[in-house]
Amino acid sequence: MFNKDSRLDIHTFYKNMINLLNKDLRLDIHHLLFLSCAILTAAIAIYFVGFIFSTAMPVFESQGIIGFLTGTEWNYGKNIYGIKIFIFGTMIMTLITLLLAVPISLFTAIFLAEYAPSRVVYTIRPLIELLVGIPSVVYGIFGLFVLEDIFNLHVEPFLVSTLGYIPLFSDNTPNSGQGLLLASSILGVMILPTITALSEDAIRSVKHEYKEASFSMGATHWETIRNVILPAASGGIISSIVLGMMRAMGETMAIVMLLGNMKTIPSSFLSYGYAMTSKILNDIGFYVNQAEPRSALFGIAAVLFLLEIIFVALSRKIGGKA
Amino acid sequence: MNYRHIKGNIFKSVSYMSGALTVLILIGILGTITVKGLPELSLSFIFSSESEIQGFGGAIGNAVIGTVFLSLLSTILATPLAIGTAVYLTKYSKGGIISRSLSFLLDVMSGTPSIVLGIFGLLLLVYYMNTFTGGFSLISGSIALAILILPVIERATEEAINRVPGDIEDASYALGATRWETIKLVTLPYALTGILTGIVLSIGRAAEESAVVILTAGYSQFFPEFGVSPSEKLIFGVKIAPFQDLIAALPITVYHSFEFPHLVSVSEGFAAAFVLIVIVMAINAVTRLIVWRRRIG
Amino acid sequence: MNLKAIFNDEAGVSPIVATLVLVVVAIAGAAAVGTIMGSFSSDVSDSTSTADASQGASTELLIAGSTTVQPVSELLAEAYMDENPGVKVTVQGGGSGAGISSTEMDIIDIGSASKDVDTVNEHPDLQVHQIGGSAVVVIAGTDITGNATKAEITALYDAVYSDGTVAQSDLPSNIIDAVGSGNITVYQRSEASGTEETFSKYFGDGDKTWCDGTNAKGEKGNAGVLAAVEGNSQSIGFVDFGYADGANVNLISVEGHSTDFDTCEDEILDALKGESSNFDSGLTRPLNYITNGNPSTVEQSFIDFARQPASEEHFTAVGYFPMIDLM
Repeated sequence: MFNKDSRLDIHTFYKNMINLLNKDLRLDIHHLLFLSCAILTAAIAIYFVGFIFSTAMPVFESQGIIGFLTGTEWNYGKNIYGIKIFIFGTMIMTLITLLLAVPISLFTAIFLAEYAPSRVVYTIRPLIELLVGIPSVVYGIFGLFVLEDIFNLHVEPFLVSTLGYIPLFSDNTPNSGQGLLLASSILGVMILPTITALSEDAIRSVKHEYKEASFSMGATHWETIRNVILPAASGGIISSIVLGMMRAMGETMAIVMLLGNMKTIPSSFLSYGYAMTSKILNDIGFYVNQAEPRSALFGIAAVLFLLEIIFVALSRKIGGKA
Repeated sequence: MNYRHIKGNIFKSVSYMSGALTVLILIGILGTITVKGLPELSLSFIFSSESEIQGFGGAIGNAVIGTVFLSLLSTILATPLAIGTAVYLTKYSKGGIISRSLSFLLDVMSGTPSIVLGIFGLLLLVYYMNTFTGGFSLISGSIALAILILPVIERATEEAINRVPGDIEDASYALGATRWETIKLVTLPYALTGILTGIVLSIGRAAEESAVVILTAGYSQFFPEFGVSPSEKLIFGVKIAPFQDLIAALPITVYHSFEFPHLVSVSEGFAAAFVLIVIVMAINAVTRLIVWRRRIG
Repeated sequence: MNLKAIFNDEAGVSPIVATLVLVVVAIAGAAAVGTIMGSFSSDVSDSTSTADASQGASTELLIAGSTTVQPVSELLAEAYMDENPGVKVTVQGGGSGAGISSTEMDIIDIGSASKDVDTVNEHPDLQVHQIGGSAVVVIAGTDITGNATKAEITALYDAVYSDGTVAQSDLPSNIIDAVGSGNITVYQRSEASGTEETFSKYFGDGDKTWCDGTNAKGEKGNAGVLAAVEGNSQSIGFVDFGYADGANVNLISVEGHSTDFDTCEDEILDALKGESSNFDSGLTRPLNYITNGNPSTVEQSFIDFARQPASEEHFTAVGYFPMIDLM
């Protein structure tokens, strides 16, 4: 009895407080609560972006933005920092990843959305989503301790013997399976579920009437997919590819282990490279106590971040958000 | 059979092969990791701390618990903020330039490369704020991970709220309920499964993250301890374990097999990877269960 | 719209309560597991040695920094805790820079650095304590043998093409490749490290990052470079001596040191001790612990423990020279 009374009191007190704020002060406390959540989130995000760029500022000032982006020398001793090699490493690796992953994931999406019976879809889709659940560091050791040997002994010699006359397929590191192809293959598997799942959604959301109209005109199933469904779903498909691309660019752990970490611009599918993310991870622990190298490493992060912001904007534009 | 049908069949079989290839890749990866990891797996390997085993490596119990702590604490930190922001964006904001910018910012955050977040955490949380966080610690790691998963929960909540049928909300308003009462009694309960799915997914995301954890949580050979002990280095003069204490994590253990291949055997790395995958997949299974219950209901 | 069904189903619980329950259950579960484990582990260590329980029960020691020193520290920590059960020594990596910064900011008690610590200008508060030593040697795959001068090795690394290899004609005159054809892969470290800094400073005439500027292929850690050279009979690289010793690689003599592992080891020890030796002392380096100011009693006790003769095995297990050999 006593308890109930006191609870009632608290309840009335609470109600009165709300009324006071609501009516007398014209304040909605709940509105305020949610607004402050939003403001805090925004503050964290803005501080984060600001922190990265302000820490990177000294290197942009000392090297010049153009110099930083296009320089090919990275030397802590001379305080010369240019990241052209790392940018190219990341870009070329991402490009090959997309070349490998997009066709497979796109056809898998078509298979799931158009051809496969629903029972098969319900078995395969969760399996594909399991691929997302494998941590990147696990992909890394899988690539290094399992695939590297296979690439070194079988895949690379095969490619060289069949396509070796094309300079793009020359293997200038015959004793190692590491390199662009290995890194991109693993990255491709990593982004495959992203592209597949989102593309499948996009294909499924194409209006049924379009499909029926195409069939009634006498088009085959494939012609309908090719000429009606894919164009109608292209927005969703492209933004899924952009998302996969961002994941590939930002990946760190697996790439450190697989790309070979050599400071040259890769000249063939089988040669080594050095990605922007790898450089940061490799050196930050050693140089974090020295201002200029630290700023230079944050400079790489800032450039990476900027690229990512551009792609986000792009994918929102395609996805229809303002 | 004319040319058009042949072409159709070719592409159909390409689609089938792609589907089969995807499944084969998955089975190949999971199978290899299991086969390579199994010899090392034992109860004592999973449940002892590294400090109890002689030599470098040898057990992953400390890392298993560390991963559980890190992913749970980061989710607890991120969830209220994420849900609050999502409710504000969907129910209170008028869709003006400011809320659209916030939505853009959230997209940017959700795509942030983890290494960028990692060095941010290293410099800000570990060094600049060391009197609060205790340097490399559970709380540093959790805050950094919370920033990483905040957009995940926020997006999931926003989507779940948007899926709530407008007419039941209208019905609530028609009954005289205020906006807060409608959100509390109609919108959020209806969106609960969607929100929970997002939360559970983000626990998995935090558990599998490595670059951020390596740079902010440090590593410890011991199981986490509990208690408060005096410390001159920290603000308020006390160290609150396990929050301001170092913590281990499974991704770091896996990374050790790459970093110190002469001390940690490859199969140990794969065994740790296997346990990590099992944890992440168990979390995914919970998500699936939530979604499945929603379908039944 | 069946409103009632929605509330009767799972949403019968308010979302806030549901979330709270979830959180509480999760924390309780984690805490329970942790405590059980914790009490179990302390039982074990208590029973192993109760002789020295007089020491402060809650003394903690955090060691962090150089990933090169990390394995040694961890082995030392285990042995130290066996003897001093009252002290908890936690070891983590992070890198030499992180070790220096963390020590200076008092985040950790003992830092480790495999690079030079400038205690005169940059870090006047820090104290350096040598616990051991190591030397960098040039190694080659099984087909390659011979000797070279300092200048020849410098020229060799500078000559590396953009694919990470050199041609037969680029080899120094006294280095012989038994195969006689094809390119030779040249390795360096992929990450910034003390080993590479020592190598660079010596061959790059004082430029601590010279090697980083060459096209040689990067491998992670001493172990990574060693594995790469072992796996490639036509290759050249550099590692800490302790790693090369016993591995299936050839030593390349630099400025006249021996290519025999045992003889070379003696020469390195002489060089580390500052005696005259065929091994150039420029390629040796100390392994250091650093403390912020004077070490506390426990810190000093751990450092002494690391320097004592009985700790030798922990250094040799990882591939470095313990202090006992250097005195």
